[in-house]
Amino acid sequence: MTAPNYRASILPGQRVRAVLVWIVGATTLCRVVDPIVADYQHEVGQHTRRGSRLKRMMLSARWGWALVAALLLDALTRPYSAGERRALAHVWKHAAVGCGLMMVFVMSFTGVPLTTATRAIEFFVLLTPSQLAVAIPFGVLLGALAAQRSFLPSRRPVVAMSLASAVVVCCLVTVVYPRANQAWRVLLYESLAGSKGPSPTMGPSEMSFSELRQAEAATAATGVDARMQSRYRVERQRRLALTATCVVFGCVGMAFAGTWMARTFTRRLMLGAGAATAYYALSILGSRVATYPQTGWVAAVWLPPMAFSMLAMAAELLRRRAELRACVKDG
Amino acid sequence: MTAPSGVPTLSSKELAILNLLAAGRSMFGLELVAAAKGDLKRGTVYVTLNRMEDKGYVESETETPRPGAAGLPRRLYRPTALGLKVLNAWAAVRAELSWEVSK
Repeated sequence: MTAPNYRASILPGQRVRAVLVWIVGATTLCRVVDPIVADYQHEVGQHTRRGSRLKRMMLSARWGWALVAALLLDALTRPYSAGERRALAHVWKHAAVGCGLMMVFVMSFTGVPLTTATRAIEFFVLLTPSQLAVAIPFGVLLGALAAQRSFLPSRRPVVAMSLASAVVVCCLVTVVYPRANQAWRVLLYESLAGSKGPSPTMGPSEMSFSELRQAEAATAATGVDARMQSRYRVERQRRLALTATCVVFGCVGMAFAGTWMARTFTRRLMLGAGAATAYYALSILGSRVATYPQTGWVAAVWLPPMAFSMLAMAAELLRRRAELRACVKDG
Repeated sequence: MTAPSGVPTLSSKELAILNLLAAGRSMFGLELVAAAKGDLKRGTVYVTLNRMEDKGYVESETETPRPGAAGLPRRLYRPTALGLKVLNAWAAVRAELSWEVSK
């Protein structure tokens, strides 16, 4: 019989472990998480008998940091097994195909004035960074969808691909894309005007991060054009959201990989195209809405990544529940 | 993992761990951190131990749960014969090299 005021206590680290069970693989859980949690519980147990509350909090913080560092180190330094290497090659191959298909699709809509062959090549080269910023996340999605569960021994190949792609997209949208965009505009102006003239003024898409910040501050100081100020702010957030897209698409791909929806290449392509279209349509809509000063700009720009992350999480939870049920059924 | 030529490798952290374990007593990760006096950190010791286990330098087992004890069982680490052999070889090479340098 339990006492009326009895409350079952949860051991320290138990909640964190329960969350990590859903995130990390069985090997990482057994080799990294469990030994850390066990030692943490032991040390907290010793300090509970003799030690202040502050000391225990400090101890928790130290172990929390140790857990994060160990997980990162393990993910980065553990050598790939033969199966993981095979999976990585498989995932990258599909990502490259997806990226290529998206590039062809997007490039066919650019309407470049093809005056001479050299000019056409120049136009395509200058357009490539902005097209790649859209095509790479799609490639990640297709690559992650190709990661069949039976084939993939762990999620590391997909996680590695998503993070590497996010770094590339980040460099593209912060450094290369604004400069290439401006050069493209100058070239287009020259082609249309037939001669060299004054360079067109840079818009938000052609500015670097620091230029955007300066322009925003200058507009805020005058206090005249609130919408323009919003546009500078939105552009900055939009680029960060585009970088996050790689990670989000990686999560979506992982959640749906191995399901009937991603069993064949055609299905994966259809699913990927549908998801990417919905995502980019939402992004464009969000960016447009966000430029109005009266709307919540952060929410509008970050709506697609947040919505798709939740979708991925829900799909993953449902899949795990189904797996667990099947496991219980099989005894 | 070993170097491409097949020669076993030993990093400074692995050396510190093997030195501590070579004393003969099995130790927990936290005990190793405490005994290393700053050479090993909580965040790196478990990853290093896993790597050493893959290389075959150490082996581990979960402790036998004591009656009435709560929480996850801790993991005990001890050196393997290969680990001790590598440590001795390393110490011999180091002694040899230091003698050569001091000549």
